[in-house]
Amino acid sequence: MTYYPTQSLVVGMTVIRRDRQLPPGVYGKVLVRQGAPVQPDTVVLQGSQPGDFVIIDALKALNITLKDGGALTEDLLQVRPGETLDKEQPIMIIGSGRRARTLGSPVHAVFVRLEGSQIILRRDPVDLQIKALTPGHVSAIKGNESVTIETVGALIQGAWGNGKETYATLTLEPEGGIEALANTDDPMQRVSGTAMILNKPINDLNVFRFAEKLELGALIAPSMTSGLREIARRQKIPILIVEGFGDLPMSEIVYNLLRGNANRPAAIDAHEPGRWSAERPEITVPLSTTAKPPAPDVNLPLMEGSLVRITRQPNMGVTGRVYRLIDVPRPVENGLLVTGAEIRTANGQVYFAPLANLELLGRPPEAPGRG
Amino acid sequence: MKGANVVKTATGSARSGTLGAILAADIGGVHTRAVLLDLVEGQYRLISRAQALTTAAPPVGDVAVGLRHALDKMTLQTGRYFMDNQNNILLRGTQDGSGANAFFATASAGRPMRVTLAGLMPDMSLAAARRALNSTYIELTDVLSLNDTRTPEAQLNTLLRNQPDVIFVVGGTNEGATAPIRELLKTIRFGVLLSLDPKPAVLYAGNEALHAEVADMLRADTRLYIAPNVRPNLRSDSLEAVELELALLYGEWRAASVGGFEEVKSLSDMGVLPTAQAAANIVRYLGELPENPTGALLIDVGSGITSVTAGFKGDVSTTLRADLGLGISAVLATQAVGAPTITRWLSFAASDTEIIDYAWNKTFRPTTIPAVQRDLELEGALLREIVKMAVSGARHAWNGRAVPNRIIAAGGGLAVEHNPALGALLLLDGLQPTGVITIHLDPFGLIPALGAVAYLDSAAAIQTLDSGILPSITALCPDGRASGSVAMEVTIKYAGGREIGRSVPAGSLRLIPIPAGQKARVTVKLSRGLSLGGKRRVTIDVENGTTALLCDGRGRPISLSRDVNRRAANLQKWYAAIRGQEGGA
Repeated sequence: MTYYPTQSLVVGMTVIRRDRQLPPGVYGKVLVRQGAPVQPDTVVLQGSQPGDFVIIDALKALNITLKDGGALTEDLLQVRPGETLDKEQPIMIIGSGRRARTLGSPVHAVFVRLEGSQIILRRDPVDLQIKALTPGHVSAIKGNESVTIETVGALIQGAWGNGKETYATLTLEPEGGIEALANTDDPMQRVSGTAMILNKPINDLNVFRFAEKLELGALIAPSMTSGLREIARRQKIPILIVEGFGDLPMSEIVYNLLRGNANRPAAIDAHEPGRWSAERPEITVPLSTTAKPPAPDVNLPLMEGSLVRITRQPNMGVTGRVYRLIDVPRPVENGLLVTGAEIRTANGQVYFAPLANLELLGRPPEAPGRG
Repeated sequence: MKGANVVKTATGSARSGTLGAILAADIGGVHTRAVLLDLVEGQYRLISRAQALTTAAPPVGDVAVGLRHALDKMTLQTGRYFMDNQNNILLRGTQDGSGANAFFATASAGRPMRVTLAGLMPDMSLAAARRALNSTYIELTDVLSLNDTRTPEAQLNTLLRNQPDVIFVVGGTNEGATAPIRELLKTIRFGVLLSLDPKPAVLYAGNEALHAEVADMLRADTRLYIAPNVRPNLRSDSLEAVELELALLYGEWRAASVGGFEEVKSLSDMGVLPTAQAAANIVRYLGELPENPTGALLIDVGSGITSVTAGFKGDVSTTLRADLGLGISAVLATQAVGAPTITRWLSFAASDTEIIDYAWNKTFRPTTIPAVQRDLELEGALLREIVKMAVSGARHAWNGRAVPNRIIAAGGGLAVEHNPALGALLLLDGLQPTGVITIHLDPFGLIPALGAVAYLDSAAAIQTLDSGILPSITALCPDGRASGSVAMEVTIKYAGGREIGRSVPAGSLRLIPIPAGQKARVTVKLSRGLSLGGKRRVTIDVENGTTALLCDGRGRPISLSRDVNRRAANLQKWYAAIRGQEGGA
């Protein structure tokens, strides 16, 4: 039985390549060279979100009619394509002297073109900048819209984010909880601007209030009730949910990796997953290393020894290694017959889970890497 | 499923013949399913089937990888190689019997094609265009019409913001006025000129008198496709040609979009066809057969999209719902049907928050399956309501016809390979049909595969279909309500002479397995208050391929108590019944 499961990247040390892109429909340019080193706040792309188009019927505006076969010609224009116009600046003049008729721009805009008798202008664009988000170097450039940043470090993919991003130092929630910290006299010196890793799910609006009071840079939580989703989206800081919605604990493997990187700076990309896109929110912790580690393995079959996470109840979030693959359908608690695998955890417990409910985290220890 | 050896294709040119070994793959949102058909004693038969997870999304981002995983499994099953040493997929066959002679691909994976529709009258050409669009996976981003109160400038800016993949222009009968269409085309032309690359393609299927003018206006600036008018006169629609054009356009767009479809398209004899459109070929055929006087129905609840295709004596209608699905669309589906509606199918009290949380997690991990009873009930409840809502929405195009008695269920939640009775239960609960219902389950993606094959070799498709390849369950679903404690007495007489009798209590279900390859005659005696097609005593012959008889003694409509404890007792009984446990009867 060969089964290629879904995969989630939870890796302690790997090469991470991430595309930084201008949003669709934005004109722009790349501000960095291939191979150039970048810092999290290096602006790598700059673009303009085009403004709306304005269409002016020149004949109507000038109150003129053309003879059969007549046309407005470009020599009547007072401007060139791409030229920025002030409001009321002449676009076209017909006639001369006292009988001249002038068509002025109704708005501050860019002249696009004359199409028949229609004049097309574009309102002012909105400028935007895209930063590198993580330190590293530019490993690839695609056209005028995409730059690939390569870095080395730990990578943890989550389930949901509120669409914000930042670069901040990871801190662990103290034992007394974020609430206790928010109620101390001068907590900000220690946690202001940091990305706090919460121990418990976010089931309470107060967590956001505490985060604001503490001036946190980001929140990383195991789970959150979906009822708080809209409020989380309105928060100014990134909120990254690792496991999913509801009352789910953080997988041991994820928590251990985050805890092992506490007090290190990390890129928190709380990308909000879309229905038709598979991009996920993720945490990148840049780490220094003497030897370049391999890129994450993808397209791996499930094998005995594979490191996996169970992604549905029962035992959701449990991680362990595949002990045995079971290709004869076996009943689970609800009576469904499924093919699956037995998973052995670090403390020696063995669980059976359907193949469909296993997410691959890593290859077996003895299997060769990609190099 | 016997019948005339003709499939009416969209091109109207069905061909009978042999292509040799045929490989077909359906690339769904979650699974990629491959089937191999070949000649056995002069007749096409299903030789092998295999599935793997679809790999359109990162980190793999290439559907051909998932296809290769499925083909690897097929090689293990058959000993036949489908790839060479360089991992290239082998087509056109080889002398040693490797590969296949033809390859067909269908797909429903990935985001739908964004379409802006432009036309004149909402109840004429635009209505016809919407019906044509129902056959393909699209997201309608905007509609421009004569009734539009926006200025052309506002229309243009909306069009540009929406960034459609295709602008579909209709309007005017062939003898009608051309001026309003010309005005509309000006806005479309501006939209094309001012769009960033890749510019939207334009499909024109309006007044045919303007074909040359449309070509002059648009051909230089974008990819222009011209099809016959969807509404050539005031009396009738003409959709088949434009539906095929949309399918081919979808294939081109799909191949050019992310996910690695280009390789699959280049290998396929028909490009990448929309799954629903290919499947509609088979539903049309089934709906024409004399043994299906009430027609045929296909319900495919996918991860992101649900399709309902009904065939009635040559008419076929497809309705696609991109807001109903059991995976990436689970949240939208829950919002559409309403969380309180879902609770009526649960044996436990659940808050709206628990239901929505469940839907979100299913959205994040659409490939997962329920492994505990609580999850099974939550997912089953959502599925029932998706089926109900999708069919209810599709029925407007059925001209008052009832739900057909032959139903094909597809999609990972309904067509569960090792648990066929579960899909049958969910379907019956969602639709609550009455009569003798034949439910076919298609866990292998055979229906779209055969529908695609039918474009080039209808005989191959029909011979395979007629060989009884889909697991089937015959459901006895009497109308009314039993007045006594027993709903029905069922007697099954096998061809060898063995006879068994079963009693079905009122309010219960009973699953009676039919041994493979056995012919059987079933006699049903119903209690007072219940009837099958108006009769209290019915005899039927079980079809080839039937794996079980599902006797539904619950009457219609199915009664669900508002009291959670009483409801739990019934639901647990029904779930036990489909597991074949005596407690269910």
